[in-house]
Amino acid sequence: MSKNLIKQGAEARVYTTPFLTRAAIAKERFRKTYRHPLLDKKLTDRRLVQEARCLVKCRNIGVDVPAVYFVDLENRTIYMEYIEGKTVNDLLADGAAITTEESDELAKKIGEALAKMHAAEMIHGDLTTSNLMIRDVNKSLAIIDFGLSFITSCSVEDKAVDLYVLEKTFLSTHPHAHHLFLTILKVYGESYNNAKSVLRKLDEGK
Amino acid sequence: MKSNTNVLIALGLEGSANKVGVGVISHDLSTGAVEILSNIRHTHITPPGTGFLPRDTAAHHREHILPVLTEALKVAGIETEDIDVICYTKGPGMGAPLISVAVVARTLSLLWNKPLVGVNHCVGHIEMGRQVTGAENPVVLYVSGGNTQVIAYAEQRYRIFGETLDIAVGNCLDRFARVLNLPNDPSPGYNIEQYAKRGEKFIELPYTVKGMDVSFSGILSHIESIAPDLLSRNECTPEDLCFSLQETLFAMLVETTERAMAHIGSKEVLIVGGVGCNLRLQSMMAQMAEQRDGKVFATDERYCIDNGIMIAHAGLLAFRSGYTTPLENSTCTQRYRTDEVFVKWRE
Amino acid sequence: MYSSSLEPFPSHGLVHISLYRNVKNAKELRKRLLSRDTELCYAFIDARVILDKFQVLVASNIAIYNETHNKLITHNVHSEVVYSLSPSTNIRESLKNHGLSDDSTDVIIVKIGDSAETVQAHLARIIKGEERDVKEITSCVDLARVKKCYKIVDGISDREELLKAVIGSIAIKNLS
Repeated sequence: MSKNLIKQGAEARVYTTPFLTRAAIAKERFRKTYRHPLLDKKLTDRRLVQEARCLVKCRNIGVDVPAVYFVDLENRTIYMEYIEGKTVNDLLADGAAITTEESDELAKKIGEALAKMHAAEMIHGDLTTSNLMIRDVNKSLAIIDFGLSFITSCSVEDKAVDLYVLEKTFLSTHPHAHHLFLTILKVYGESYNNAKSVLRKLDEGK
Repeated sequence: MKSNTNVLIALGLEGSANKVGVGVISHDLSTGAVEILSNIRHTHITPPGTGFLPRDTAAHHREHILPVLTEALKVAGIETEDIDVICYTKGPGMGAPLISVAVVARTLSLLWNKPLVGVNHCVGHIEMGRQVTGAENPVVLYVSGGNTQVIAYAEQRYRIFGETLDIAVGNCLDRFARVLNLPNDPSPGYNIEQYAKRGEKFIELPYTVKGMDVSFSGILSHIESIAPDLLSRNECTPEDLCFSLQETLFAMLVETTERAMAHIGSKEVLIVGGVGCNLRLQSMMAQMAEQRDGKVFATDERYCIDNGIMIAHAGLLAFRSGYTTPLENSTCTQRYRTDEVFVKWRE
Repeated sequence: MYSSSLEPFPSHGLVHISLYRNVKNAKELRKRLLSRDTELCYAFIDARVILDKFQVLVASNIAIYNETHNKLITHNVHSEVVYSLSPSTNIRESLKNHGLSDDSTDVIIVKIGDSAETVQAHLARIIKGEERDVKEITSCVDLARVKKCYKIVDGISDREELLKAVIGSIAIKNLS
């Protein structure tokens, strides 16, 4: 298998790899040696399953994410669709290379996707602009890296924190695109019934 | 006694939980040297199976603070006129015990005509940890009977990255020690640690990490409910339970600390607070840090466990940056968040 | 016929996928399968519920994984392929919906192991139908049947999106 390492985080290594005639991503979670082996296995399994389930659920509620192909619990690996595209982080890094129209279009896609997720009580857990991608083929927005995702029990706080993480990315990495974030919140507010309490909580936290 | 006027001396009084401590520290402003002149402490220990209550704890502090203070001054070998500032724990902690110590601080301040500085207990732990270990800018894991926080310094505040959503990890351990009727001498946590060393069987317990936060009430209620049954049926030993509890609790702490490290790109971890004395926790943290090319710093029981010297040290740092607490503001507060303190003495 | 090894199991041998159309003896084959005829060591799949060859490969991959880790839910790796195509954990239902029916005319056959020549020759002997290029799999599908089978309630019209939804439900089926 010709694997290519493309990312290494605290939790996993991410490779590109061919998988049954398709280009795929293999996300392999680390063994944490500081944990008791039984605990490590239990936790890793649980997290893998959670990530796979969240990805499949997103697809069911109309949020574009990498398609799950195969979950290999024994080897702590998920195989999923390799998405051809650019991250929003890369797009915004160009600075002025994005028009107001494009910016509004982007904000609309992001706001709507987040609204759908939160309406389904799903928290992404790591919403940064590096985890938002625009597909080359149809310019649709795809959300990636659900390694920290979970289903919440209607917690306004969890949803506010989810948005707060995204806001911090904008503030620290794309300060010039702050209006884009504000448009995201506006669209989110319009697309999600319970957005008001979430947005209020987000405001309170500051 | 104080010949060198470029040396500042602080007296620190601590009593937020069941330890009453007095410490004397000196900061040499010309050389930057910090010297611990004395660090005396007395612990209120209750019978096995019980925990300490605010009223009895305050009574204990009232009974022992003057002897502890006298001893601290004697060991430090200083006169009252050598003292530049009196520091006391403003909070967080238990109300009555905090006040019993604050009263002494205020009285001394009036009696000896010295300025007062109210200190945040957590900041005391952090500053003492930094001083003793030399850690530059670590992610701090502060774990004790009353607190569980993951902290990192940014722009003159000790920012809380993650914390417990309910009880502190030390509280969880202490309460389980009561279920097993372990002695509280020297501390319930210490005895759990010794039992855990002899444990072999790993029993699955709930593990709750949410983002950067942790939750311990679930695992506590679970182990409290299954323990009597498992023990009576000889399915495991108390040692096995202590072992399993530690492995699970500490794994949660190490995970959130690792997340904070990854998030801010830090390679140092400093563990402070009473639970920081635990060698298993230190070892697990070290294993994690090693895999990230990082390093763990920890202190021994002189500084891990609540003490007066850390209050003196943090208080003196604040005093040197121009901070004092006027008498009318020298209250105590049970809830005092770490990030409320303006850390003027750092960049 | 399509033959390939699977990346996660490089030393496991080949997986062969064959498509037969205008099959006349589905009933007979089914009877033989039910009586555990050892000559029929294959997975027989009704092509109406298959969108794409990839779907078959994913199910084969899962079947081999289960066999390798001693986690087979059905009797053997071939019945496991059919079972793995289904989003349901009910074995009977899975085999009924995805395996051979008496009225199956377009049939996909999967063989794990063995050589392409042997398999091709044997299939030609036992199946009364026309072997076709596996590319034609996409023409055999009955979309309504697929949506019913995989409980896709949404109005997904895009074939690729439908395929992703199907693969996803297969992938998470046996996760605790």
